[in-house]
Amino acid sequence: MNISDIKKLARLARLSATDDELEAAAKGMDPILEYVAQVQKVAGMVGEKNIPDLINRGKDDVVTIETGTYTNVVLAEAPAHEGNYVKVKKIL
Amino acid sequence: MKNIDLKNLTIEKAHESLRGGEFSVRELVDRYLAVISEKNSDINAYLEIYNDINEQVLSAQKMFSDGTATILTGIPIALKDNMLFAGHIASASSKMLENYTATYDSTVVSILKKQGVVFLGRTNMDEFAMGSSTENSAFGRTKNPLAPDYVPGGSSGGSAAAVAMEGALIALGSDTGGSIRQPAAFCGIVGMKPTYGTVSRSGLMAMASSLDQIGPFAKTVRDAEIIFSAITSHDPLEATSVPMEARQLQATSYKLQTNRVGVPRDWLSGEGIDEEVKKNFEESLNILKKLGYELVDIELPVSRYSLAAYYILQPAEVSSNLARFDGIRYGHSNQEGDLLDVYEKSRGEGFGKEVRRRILLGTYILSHGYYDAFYGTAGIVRTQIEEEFKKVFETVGVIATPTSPFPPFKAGEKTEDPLAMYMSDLFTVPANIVGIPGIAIPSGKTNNGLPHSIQFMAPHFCEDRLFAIGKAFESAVQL
Repeated sequence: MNISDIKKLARLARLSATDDELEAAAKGMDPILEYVAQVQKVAGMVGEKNIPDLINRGKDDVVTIETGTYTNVVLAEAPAHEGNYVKVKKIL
Repeated sequence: MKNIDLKNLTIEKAHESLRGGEFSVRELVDRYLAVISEKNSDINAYLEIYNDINEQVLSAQKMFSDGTATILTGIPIALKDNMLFAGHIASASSKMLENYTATYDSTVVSILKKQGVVFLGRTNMDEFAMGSSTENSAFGRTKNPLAPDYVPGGSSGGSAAAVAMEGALIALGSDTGGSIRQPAAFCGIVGMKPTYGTVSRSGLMAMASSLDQIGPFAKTVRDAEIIFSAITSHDPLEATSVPMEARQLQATSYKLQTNRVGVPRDWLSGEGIDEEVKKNFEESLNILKKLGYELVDIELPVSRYSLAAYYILQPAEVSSNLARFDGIRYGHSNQEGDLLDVYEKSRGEGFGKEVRRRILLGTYILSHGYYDAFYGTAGIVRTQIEEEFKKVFETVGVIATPTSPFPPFKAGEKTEDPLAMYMSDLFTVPANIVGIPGIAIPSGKTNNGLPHSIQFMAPHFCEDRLFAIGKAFESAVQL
């Protein structure tokens, strides 16, 4: 993995980093990717019949607490808020 | 101060003494606080001692006087820093959450609160539970109380060290790939990862949601059993929590009741497994034989690749789960620049090196073009590993392995080589991949006097098998 790959990943993951940090991260990545690529060898052995059979577990969409119960404690953790809203910077 | 023999104290002994008035909750808690004030500045097991211990002590003592006390009332416990305790800071040992106050109770805290457990404080950990040495904390490393130059294991190293230094009778940790069992092994205590779906993760900071599980640290198997029995529950707040009847059904589907213990010999022949660890494991197997267990060699050839599959699934889930930290709703925030700057700077500054590494790795693995080769393939391998274990449990009741491929290592020894650090979880990761329970139990000492540990694994929802063999082993092993 080279520095430009890792820069793109950092952008995708919304992580600021200095070039030095990214350089170091890129270097550390290859041995890990090489190691985990072993799964490709095994998957060849076992074939496609083992595609995971996953189901989504949902919950009923019902209100279980009184509106406003947690508003103040939650807002207290927000870096910026206005009234009962968390404040976000203007996009356009 | 009351003279209480903390070293040999168990939950049941403490309970008898509290009930009989031999000592009070206050006296018991004060003994632990005295140890903490003597040792913690050096060991760094705790990041914070809670400021409401007095109130907790009073209400626990009241439960004894009004007859509502349970086995856990008044028992001092340490909490890993990634579990929410309303009104208290929960930081996951990250700068990201350094000043974050929990807005609600995790289900485990809420259960234990009702029982009158005394929460002493929150313990140090690898940041967001990523690491095997508790060196990745934003608040300094935790030392191994048995040998301060060595690491206590991780990621729940603070919880393990708290119990090992007699700074709490019991502790809670979380285990995604070995984060309870490996630190228990390194600190010479018992640590257990229950079946996926038994203990609610509501209020546990998510790392890799298909793998995370909360479990106990204790000095004896019986104590671990008591804590597990208390915190296991069906929680409607948690979508992956399994209803009690379904657990029973699945447990009884593993019909085989046997004293046969499976030993995956092929796992032990790989590189990087310490000779002393192998020798101690053979000695442990001899103890089991003497106890009347029948040892059977088993084959789990695909499961040898569990760690490779794990380092795909886990960073992928990490990158998704940690997307919630955006500098907008809570946690560290740098408000300079436009919205994109806020995201990038808040996350770049708030997360430490290992957390950023795993987010980048997960982002790569899930990106278009690599998804099938990595994440898709790891899913296929995971299913195969699950089937392998299911089949093996048709012939054996329990599986035994060493807990860690090597004994405790020195601080700094593996910090520059992430892959070497990841190898710590070689034997513990398969239980997380499959979702089965595992327990780590002390099994002797190295030539340097550091602890060895054996791991037992059982089928889904068959924790009782782990407690049974664990107690037998524990009473026979010479430490």
